[in-house]
Amino acid sequence: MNTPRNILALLPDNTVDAGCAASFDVLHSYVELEFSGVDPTLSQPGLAAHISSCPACREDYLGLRDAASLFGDIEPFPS
Amino acid sequence: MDSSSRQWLDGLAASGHDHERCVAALHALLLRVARYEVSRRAGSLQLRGTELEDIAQQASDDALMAIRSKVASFRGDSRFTTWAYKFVMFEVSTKMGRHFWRHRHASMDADNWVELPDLGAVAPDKRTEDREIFAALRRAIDQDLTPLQKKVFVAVALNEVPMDAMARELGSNRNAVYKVLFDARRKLRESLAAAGYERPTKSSGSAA
Repeated sequence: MNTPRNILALLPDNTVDAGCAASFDVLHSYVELEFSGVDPTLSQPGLAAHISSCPACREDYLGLRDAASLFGDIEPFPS
Repeated sequence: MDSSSRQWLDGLAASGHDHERCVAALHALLLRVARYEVSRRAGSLQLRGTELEDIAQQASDDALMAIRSKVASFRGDSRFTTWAYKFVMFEVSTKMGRHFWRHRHASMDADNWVELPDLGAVAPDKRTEDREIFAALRRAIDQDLTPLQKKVFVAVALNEVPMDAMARELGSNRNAVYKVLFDARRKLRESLAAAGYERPTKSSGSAA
């Protein structure tokens, strides 16, 4: 269980939270912006706010970042 | 668009043998990603090897279906593979949520968080503050949340039940569960602010 101080941290105040569905729609571009060295929180603040508040979407983001890094440049028919 | 992405799109749009080869290659790739992701998340559940493999297989199958049905919506704003892998993430999360209740016995009882954590290592003045915050939070949860908000907040935020497991329990979906959690947090922030505690509230926000 979370301690009282951590409980206060579980009440984030995100004014621009995009929600799960809208965040999923742009999660791939958010990750690629991050890879390119651009701060994705500037262009997609709603997603940034969301993944800081939603544990499920945050896990998806972390997994996608790993997967895109490890398996990102694979072609269907490698020569 | 990068050449790899173009190859994937051309292969999926092709017919006959080329199409079948591309679909097979994509499925194999999605399965690799699903296995990796299942393994990455496995620590949160006590799943065995065959269960993990089943989840990876099911997730890659369903991700492939989703990708084939939605490929026309891919706009080239990332590599094709990155776009495709997000469907794997979603399917893995959903399927691991289904398995959650088999191996964990986190309480769904919205009243099952009455115990104050051990505060022995905390300075005396902070212990008093923690107890006050805890009491204020408990009052707010009991008095200000709807039964559904209370159930979701206690399970997800306090007892760390995965949201996809909670969605399954409620016969709902992640987006709807998050909306309930979002509204519960907002009410609690407002209640704690009214009680004089920091962190609370700046706005009403939105979690569409």
